[in-house]
Amino acid sequence: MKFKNIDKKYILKSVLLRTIFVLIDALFLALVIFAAPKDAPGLWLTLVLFAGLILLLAIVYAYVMPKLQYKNYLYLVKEDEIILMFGVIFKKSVVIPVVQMQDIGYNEGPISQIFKLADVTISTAGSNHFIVCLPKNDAKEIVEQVKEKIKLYKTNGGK
Amino acid sequence: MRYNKKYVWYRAIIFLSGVIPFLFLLISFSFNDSEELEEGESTFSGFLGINSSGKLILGLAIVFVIYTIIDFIISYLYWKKTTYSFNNNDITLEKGVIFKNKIVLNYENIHAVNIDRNLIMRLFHMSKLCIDSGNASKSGLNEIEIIDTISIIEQMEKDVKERLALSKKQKIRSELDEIKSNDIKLEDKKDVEIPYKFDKKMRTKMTFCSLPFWLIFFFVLLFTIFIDVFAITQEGFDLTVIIASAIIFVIAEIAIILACKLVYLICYYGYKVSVNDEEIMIEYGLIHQRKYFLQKNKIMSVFVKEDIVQMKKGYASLHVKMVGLIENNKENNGSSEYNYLFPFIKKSDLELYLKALNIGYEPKEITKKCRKNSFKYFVILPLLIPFIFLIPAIIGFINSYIVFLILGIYILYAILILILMAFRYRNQAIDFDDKFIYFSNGVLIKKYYMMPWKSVVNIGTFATPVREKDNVTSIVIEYYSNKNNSRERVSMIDVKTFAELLLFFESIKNR
Repeated sequence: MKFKNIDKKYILKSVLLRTIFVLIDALFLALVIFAAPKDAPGLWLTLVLFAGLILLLAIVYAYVMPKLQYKNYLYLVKEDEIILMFGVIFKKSVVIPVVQMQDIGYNEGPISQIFKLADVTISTAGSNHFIVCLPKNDAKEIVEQVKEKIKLYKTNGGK
Repeated sequence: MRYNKKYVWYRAIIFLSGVIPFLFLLISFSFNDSEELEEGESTFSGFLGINSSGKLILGLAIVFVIYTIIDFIISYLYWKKTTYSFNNNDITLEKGVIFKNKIVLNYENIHAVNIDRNLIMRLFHMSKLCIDSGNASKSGLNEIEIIDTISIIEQMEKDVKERLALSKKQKIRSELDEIKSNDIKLEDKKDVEIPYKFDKKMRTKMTFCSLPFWLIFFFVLLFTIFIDVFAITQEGFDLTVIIASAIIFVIAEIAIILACKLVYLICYYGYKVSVNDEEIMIEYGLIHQRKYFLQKNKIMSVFVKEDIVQMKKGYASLHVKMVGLIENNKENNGSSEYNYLFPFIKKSDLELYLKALNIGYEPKEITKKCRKNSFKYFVILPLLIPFIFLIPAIIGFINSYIVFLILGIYILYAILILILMAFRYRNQAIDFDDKFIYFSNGVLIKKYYMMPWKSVVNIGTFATPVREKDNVTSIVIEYYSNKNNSRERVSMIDVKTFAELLLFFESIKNR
């Protein structure tokens, strides 16, 4: 069994959403620089450099990170567990056994609906986990598949 | 299936009921405006740019009509898009107009089934069936809500409860079979008191253990005040001020000792712990008397907490993590997830107390500790990230004395980080056997957990590419709880240890 990538449309969706964030960020930073006292050159230069740093980070987050996040977001639906691996700088992995799942479903936000995507939500007694940006049919299939596995596990008396 | 059609009216009225008081408020403002006003005084209508109150009311009426129409359309769409079905093994609910959501809840995972009926529902002869799985992340919310006529809801409640009872019966039957096969004899429920006394001697010891923290706190406080006064007055150090500060410091410490002893006396007065086969009973308190009944089968883990002073002196406190404690204990009010079991014990007596509780927990020395050369990973990011954000300030004030102030603060911060991370580095460890996973973490307060495998929901890792290259990772353990995101992290452990842990977890999860 091989790990699967999420849908490539994740990059486009993320870039679109994060561009809005970058624009708001840039506007806010421009306002801060505009309002900064120009008679204190040290403070003004600090604010300009700080704004530049923040903007640079925002641009990296919006236009570089989505591709890396897509490459690093892997999932595997096994017979009795789901394994998730994600993260670029902080890499996370989690193994969720089917027996520990409380409920499973999928969500579609308005932008996801445009791209025909869905996020699978797996609830456990500890917290929630997500497989983001899957083609809607794949998400449906995973939900049905795991639902069946849970059912099978329950009918076998937890064995 | 869909909700009853009356739901459209119910939902629309619920939304309107929120707007109507606001509307009345606006109308009353507009009437106040029409009363005689002194020259130059502004009016509410004027504020909105409308000349007369009549026009304002007309405007509000139009807004209200539009809002009502939109409200009914949304309610209708919501009704149309909400479907549910009772299947053989689960209940499925699909809802949402813009954000679509599908929930599948297994009967075996149902935690509570309740019927709710508010005033507006009564008007429409309707009821709401609330089904909750006890999912940690949705505590306080019902996962599945079905709204229909009273008779249908009552019938549904019966059906769900019947299915629940059936699944419980099956579970009990399998548990009984297991008990029979193990030849375990069920004894009568009998309370046995554990010889634990939180007496005067213990209270004094606990007070003196917490004293160094208060000493540091007051020293820092007085030092700050002293420096501030010196900086403001710039009159130099006066001997009388120093003596007065020292006297205040000593008085404050004596007051703290007395206050701690008094608080411990009032809070833990008559501390008594007793056990039987099913429960642990804890009784204490002088003014606010507490009596807790902790179900043994709801104990999810036991942990030992010790701060740096307690660690040095060989003392600790013993705690339990529970599931469903809030339901068992209304006094707790859900404010804390766990209670003190033994607020202050000698660490050497830990095994003795655990044996007396008869919950099957045994402490074990943890062998797999934090990787020896991994201290750098604890400090690199906390030191590097703030420094990056300080660079603009350093460049900006390069020709000013402020740059020394910034660097001075950063050096103090770096020293603090190095000290704290040294404690964190020392406290990380993990181990496991057939029954339990043992781990410890914490910074100034070390927590040592004994968690049965049945309490572990899932395990995972948390690393960076550099740490991955060096085969070091943090292990994340998620456990059953009624708190959202219930997870503990053990940092900088060898990847091999995680692989062993994962292998064992995968082999026992279906047991």
